[in-house]
Amino acid sequence: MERGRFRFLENRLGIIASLYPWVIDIRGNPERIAFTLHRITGIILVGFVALHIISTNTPARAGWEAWVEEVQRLSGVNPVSLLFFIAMGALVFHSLNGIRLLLVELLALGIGRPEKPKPPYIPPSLKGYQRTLIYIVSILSLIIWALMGYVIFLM
Amino acid sequence: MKAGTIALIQYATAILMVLLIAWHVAVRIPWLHGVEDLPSTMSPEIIYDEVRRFWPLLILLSIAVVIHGVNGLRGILLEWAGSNERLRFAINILSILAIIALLIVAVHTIVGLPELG
Amino acid sequence: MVFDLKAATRTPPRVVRIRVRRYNPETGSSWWQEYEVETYRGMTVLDALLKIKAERDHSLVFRYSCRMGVCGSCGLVVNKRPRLACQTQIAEVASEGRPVVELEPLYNFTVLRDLATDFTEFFRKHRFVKPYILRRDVREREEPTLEYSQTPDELAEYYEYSLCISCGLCDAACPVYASDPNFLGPQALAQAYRYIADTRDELWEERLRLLDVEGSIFKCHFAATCSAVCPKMVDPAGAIQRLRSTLLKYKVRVYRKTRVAKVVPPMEKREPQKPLPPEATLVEGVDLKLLEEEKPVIPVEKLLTS
Repeated sequence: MERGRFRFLENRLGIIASLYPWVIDIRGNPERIAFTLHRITGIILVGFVALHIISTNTPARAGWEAWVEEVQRLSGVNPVSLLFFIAMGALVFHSLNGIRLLLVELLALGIGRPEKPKPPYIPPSLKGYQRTLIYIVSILSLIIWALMGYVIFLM
Repeated sequence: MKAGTIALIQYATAILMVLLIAWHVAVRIPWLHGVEDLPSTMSPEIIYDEVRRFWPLLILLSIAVVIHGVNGLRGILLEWAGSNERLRFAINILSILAIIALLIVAVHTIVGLPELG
Repeated sequence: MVFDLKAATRTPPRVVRIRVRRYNPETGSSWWQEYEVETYRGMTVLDALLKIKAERDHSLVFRYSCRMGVCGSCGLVVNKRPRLACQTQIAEVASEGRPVVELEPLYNFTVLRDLATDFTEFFRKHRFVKPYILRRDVREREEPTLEYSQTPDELAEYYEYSLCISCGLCDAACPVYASDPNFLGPQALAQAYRYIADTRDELWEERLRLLDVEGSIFKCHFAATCSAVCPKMVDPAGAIQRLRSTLLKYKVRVYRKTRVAKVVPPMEKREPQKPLPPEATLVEGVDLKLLEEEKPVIPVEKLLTS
């Protein structure tokens, strides 16, 4: 910003703030990590969905033989199945965290009641059960992701 | 469209997707079909049968997923675009085009599904 | 913000290095400058800055006023976390192992010089949400003759949000505000909810419609860092979720404000006395008008003796 002969500094953190949570000190704030993961998994999933829609179009475009070939690329450990595995992890986390966000954002649940400040001054929205849900979501998505990994790679 | 209406669509598709994707992923569990591995659950017979029986659900899923995904990405890009009006306009137009294009492909997948030969 | 209650009684390292991110608007240059400061027990970051300004470098610029966490002027970033300088003990942010305190101007604000930031945009956004009580009867609002009724429960609904001191820490911490200059920011949105939740506010629909635009509530994705850094426990994140929920419910027509406060006369003179019903009979010799003017004296002694 410029005003006369003075030039002032725009001190914005920019895009990095929404992709890397540790640009600021976030102790006591796992919601920030959940927010970043939700955003990153969301971006991964948009790419995956676009590819998925195009690849499932194979039978209509090139017949069933091409489809069988397409599907066979998922067996065993190779770049395609690894990418598929990553997309599945993103899907599980994004869905489970999405359920939590639906509760919080759409219905305003899990963020406590407004209360009068008293020590140790933890805001109600950080004490509500959405905080517990973050841990449940993380653990559950790791478990489901591991199961999916078993199905994709080991069966 | 008002921002609130778009947000409502985003949340409605989210609820729809939670249910539909749970189903969509669950039908890929190998034990349900009595086969050994994941690729076998996507054999032409199983897929053909699935599309024939559940095509309305699949169409609904693709609509929800495409709208939710593209609109979500649009929100993130608009946030990053700042106050550059031409960039914002371009993002909005491209999102609409992306939704239409992906939905055409999705519908073609189901409509143009060949008979099992 | 969670206060480290033990830090208030802890002794800080004897000497701390204070690293300040400085900026000169005339040359446009920005650099880190380091000062060594001798500390004492109970020294705050603001005390250290004042000591530097008094003894070491008078050119250091920062803003402060009340020195006790009430005015919200001295917000800055201490060791990568937005804090109020006057509320942050040196002992809280520096330890014997790492006696360094890094000070930066608030993120996401325009830096005027050194640690002083420009709040014009911040207050423009605050004004945008109409942070005052709106009534249909403007006359009554501007020149009140009576008071509005409100129960303690209704007060508790918004009291927390009314504690905001406009220090800007929430906006400095917000990841969305960091990349989107059009976003209204947690402070303005929390204040919007504070007035929508207030039963004295009558034109809540107008304010909700005002917020139903691109770049307002729907840009928030509940990273909740605003609540984590708030020095007054205002909880902007919770307020924005309630506001969004309210707006969406209003849009699908399942929300109505349950009660809007009416004006009530003060307790002492509630209503003019009702006339007695015609069938009532007066005791002989009693004059109603006389009774109003001077209260009857009940002779207690006489009652006791009889």
